[in-house]
Amino acid sequence: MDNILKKILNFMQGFAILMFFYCVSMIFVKILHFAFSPAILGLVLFALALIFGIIKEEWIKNTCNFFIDNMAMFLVPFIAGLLVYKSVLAQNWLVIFLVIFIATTATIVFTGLFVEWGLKFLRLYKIKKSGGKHD
Amino acid sequence: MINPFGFIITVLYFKIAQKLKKLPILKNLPPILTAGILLILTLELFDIDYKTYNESASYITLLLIPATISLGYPIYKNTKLLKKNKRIIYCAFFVAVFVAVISTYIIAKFCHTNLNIIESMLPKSVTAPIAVEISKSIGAIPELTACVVVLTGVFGALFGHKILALCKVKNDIAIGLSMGASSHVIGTSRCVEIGKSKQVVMASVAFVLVALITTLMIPLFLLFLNLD
Repeated sequence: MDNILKKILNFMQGFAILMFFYCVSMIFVKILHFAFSPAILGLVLFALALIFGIIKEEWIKNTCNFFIDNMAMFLVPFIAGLLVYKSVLAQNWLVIFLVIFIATTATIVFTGLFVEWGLKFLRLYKIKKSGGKHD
Repeated sequence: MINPFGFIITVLYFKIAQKLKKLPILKNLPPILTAGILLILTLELFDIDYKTYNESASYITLLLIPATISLGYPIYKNTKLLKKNKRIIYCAFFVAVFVAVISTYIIAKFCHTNLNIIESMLPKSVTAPIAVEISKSIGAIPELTACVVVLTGVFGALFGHKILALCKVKNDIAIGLSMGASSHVIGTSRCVEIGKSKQVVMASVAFVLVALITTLMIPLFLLFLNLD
């Protein structure tokens, strides 16, 4: 029983920390009139707080893992939300289809190949450089 | 009192979709899409208003806030990996934003699309809340932007890994960056489902920085084209 209580308290503690970062980001966004999502700013601040040791990993580990594991479920209502835009979709279906199909494929392919080849090139460059030193 | 229908049905359908994924025919279908289709069919078949559904389902969407902030944790766990590959990572973001914006513009222009609609589709690879903000700031149609953003994410989640496999992209860093940069948080959630931590980290970093770069780049792009 104690163990379960500890787990619940640990989860609540992690949740409170995450929401604290959200509130701080909201204040930043409001004060600076910055057109940016407070959740994303919260992510950046949260990662920085972890990197600089302001927050300990064990305080948030379980809560973060829970939210990351269930992330896809939180997005499901967005798909149902497409129903609201039925008429917008029907009016522009061809261009929307082409843009999603071609432009997204192009972004996936170009980014993927750029990084894949870039990493290979850097690896070869390092090998060549270290080989040169040996000579 | 709030009607709990939306909340219950979303969780229920998602759990069913996760179980269905174990079937050989549906193994490649992300549960988010299966659950989404089931939801749309239910709402349409029983003539349920989206507002009624969203009354309690909006609480599920709210959980996306702590879920997004949680992505800071895998980033922290892999800071070494990020530092080691920083040059290539930063260049990749610019490649992704450039290709996404330019290709969208060219395709839409090719179809003789109305300027307002082109502007609405430009932030398609950015996560929904930011894309809608960008859309409002450039005077586009936020509803269309939200729509295109969700469909882009679903397309990336469904076909992203397959397209990358066809192009013989095997490195997890490349796959993660590509998924996050092209399909934002939905692509990232697909990497979470696949369970490769390197992909999740790279996708998380990608969708955050792509959002930042796109916010700055779209107004400049429109200014450059004298469209604004």
